[in-house]
Amino acid sequence: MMIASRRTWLAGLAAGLLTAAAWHHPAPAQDGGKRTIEVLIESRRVAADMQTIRITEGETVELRWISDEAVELHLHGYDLKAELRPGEPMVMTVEAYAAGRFPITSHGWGDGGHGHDAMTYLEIYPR
Amino acid sequence: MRYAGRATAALPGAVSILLLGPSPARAHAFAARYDLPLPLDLYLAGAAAAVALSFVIMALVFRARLAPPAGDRGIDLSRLRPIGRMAIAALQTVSVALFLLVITAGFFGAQDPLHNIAPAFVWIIWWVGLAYVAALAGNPWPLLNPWSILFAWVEHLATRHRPQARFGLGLGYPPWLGAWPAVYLFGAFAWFELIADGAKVPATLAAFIVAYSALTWAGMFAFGRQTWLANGEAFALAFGIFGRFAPIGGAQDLRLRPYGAGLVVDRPCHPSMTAFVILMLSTVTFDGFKETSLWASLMQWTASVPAFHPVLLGLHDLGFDLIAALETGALALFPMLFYLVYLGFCWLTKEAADGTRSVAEIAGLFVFSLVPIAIAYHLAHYLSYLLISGQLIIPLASDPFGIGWDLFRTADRGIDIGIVGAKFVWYTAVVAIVVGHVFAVAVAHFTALKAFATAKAARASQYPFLVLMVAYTMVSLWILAQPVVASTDPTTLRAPSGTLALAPFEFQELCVEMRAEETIDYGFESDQPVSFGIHYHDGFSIRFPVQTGGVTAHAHAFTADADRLYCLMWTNPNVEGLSLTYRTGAPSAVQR
Repeated sequence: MMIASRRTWLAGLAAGLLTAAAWHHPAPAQDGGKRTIEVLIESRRVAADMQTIRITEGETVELRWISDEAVELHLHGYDLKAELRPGEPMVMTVEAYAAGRFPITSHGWGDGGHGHDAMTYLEIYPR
Repeated sequence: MRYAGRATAALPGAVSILLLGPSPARAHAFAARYDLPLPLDLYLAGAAAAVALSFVIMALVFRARLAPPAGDRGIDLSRLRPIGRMAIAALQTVSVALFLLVITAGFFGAQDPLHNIAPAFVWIIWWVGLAYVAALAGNPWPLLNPWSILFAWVEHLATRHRPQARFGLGLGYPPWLGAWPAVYLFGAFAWFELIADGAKVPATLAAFIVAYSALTWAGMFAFGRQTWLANGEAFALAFGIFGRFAPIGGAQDLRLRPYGAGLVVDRPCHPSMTAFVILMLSTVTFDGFKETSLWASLMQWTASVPAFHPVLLGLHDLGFDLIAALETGALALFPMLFYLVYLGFCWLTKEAADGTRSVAEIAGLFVFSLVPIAIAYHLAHYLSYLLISGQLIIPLASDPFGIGWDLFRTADRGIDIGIVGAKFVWYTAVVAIVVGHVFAVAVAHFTALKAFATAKAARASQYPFLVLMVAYTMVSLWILAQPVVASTDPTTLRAPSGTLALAPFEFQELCVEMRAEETIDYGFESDQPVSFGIHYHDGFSIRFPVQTGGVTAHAHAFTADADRLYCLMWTNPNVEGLSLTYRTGAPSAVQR
């Protein structure tokens, strides 16, 4: 039937476009290596290029935090916590098994101040 | 209030007005979304597919002269009698039990949102989940509506022994009122869902449900159950509109029909219904838009305009949360903007067609054709939220009150954030958006064939709509391609000199603690005109000792008149981004 074939054709066109896009999408290659990303917190914030930390699914990444003030960090989703003391590096090991954009928030600053903002985001891209 | 506290803690002496930024807690009604933004190439492919398919459909519908899918060609499912009276009664009992459970848990359970079944059930399972079911399968709300069921039960009991007796006041419903009560109630609901802090607080949520229940039953008592369900019960209308898209449904009985067929109408709906649909669509879009960084910049820009300061500071003085106040204003403006744009396109449609239909008629005929785009966006936006945060219901089912029960031995079950792959979510989102767009264009075309006398007029009428739909689809895709922003902090700037990139309407500031009589040298060069000022906070007011607009270069010295924190602030008033380099010296005592 005419209508059916046209519908099929439409679906095909859409699928084709999307497949093309998917094909084209560069998947960053990572082979489960372990790497360390150092993040400095100064005056309660991270450097501009660390406001989003991008890694790839399947990686194991050590986030090495150094803060000039005592603070508790919380990686949402993965639900990891780290208590930092001024000047002492603290490592948060993330086994990136699930992709997504996860906020890292701060609690309990040195003076008891409470920050609800996301300090940075961990973006885990699919392979 | 929370913001004032936070700002005071972070920057002594600086009041919160410039520290606007939605917090993770506020970014959504309840629970977090961990969605990755849609990659650029998928976004572009989706956009290209939407435009291309629009023209394909246009050619197909008119050249092939396809008959609109008629309701009477559907299969009457009620003849199959798949569910008996017993099954319906059982479902309704479960629905009422859940309704009572949510209210009880809300009032008497633990008040931590994640350890009480009320927020998870209401916001994830009921509001997001039921909308999926209503749109993709069929609208179950007429069957499950606890307000309707409970009222019908009481009605039945009250009139059981007196068949002639009438329950309720039996007032005549004024025709001009239409669905306006539902419009305003839905507006209030949207505010509660998207802006109010209480949406995730179990007791506040329960109180809101009780208040809405009282209103609903009063409406039913005054005008009759069915009348109120058709005009005043906001969720009956909302799920009903989603359900028009579904393959199961019909005006009177259960019928199987093609997707979207229920959206093709042959007579204009009441203006209040048009308003309701527009309100619903715009709040769905607003929900996503308010998590983008453009939105955060717009909010900051609004807060930085001196003309708005008296109003904002007045609200702050009265104890209002400034972010909530700004968002409330935006939530009120957003549907009106949508409505004006929609009416503008209806006018273009009238001009393009044969002129036999007025703008109001066109608005009432074609408003449903936008629904598939909103459904598609809703599916795309909430897919991973439903699948990830929706898992909360598993432990909560075992311990609904958060008091340590373990009814089904699932109380310790955690959330698997890896349940759904990011790529699956991306592709589903783009396919949903493109397919939704195709349905929208098709529905509008079939509606046009019914609404206009000649095929020529019908065809001509569709050019403006095509533009509107492509634009709406692009907005949906664009939002999906934005990273979810839960925080923006205008005081990120710290280095004494450096380069700044300012998005349109964005501002950034550099704050310096100075002593009286100290002087600071500063200067900057910008590739676009920029607004610059030095301000400080004095209680609830902001003073600007230095203020210039539209400059590209500036160098000066500034002397403090008291010990306080001074902030240098650059605001981009242009519609395109700008880049500037700045330098500041250390504050130093004046040489005399």
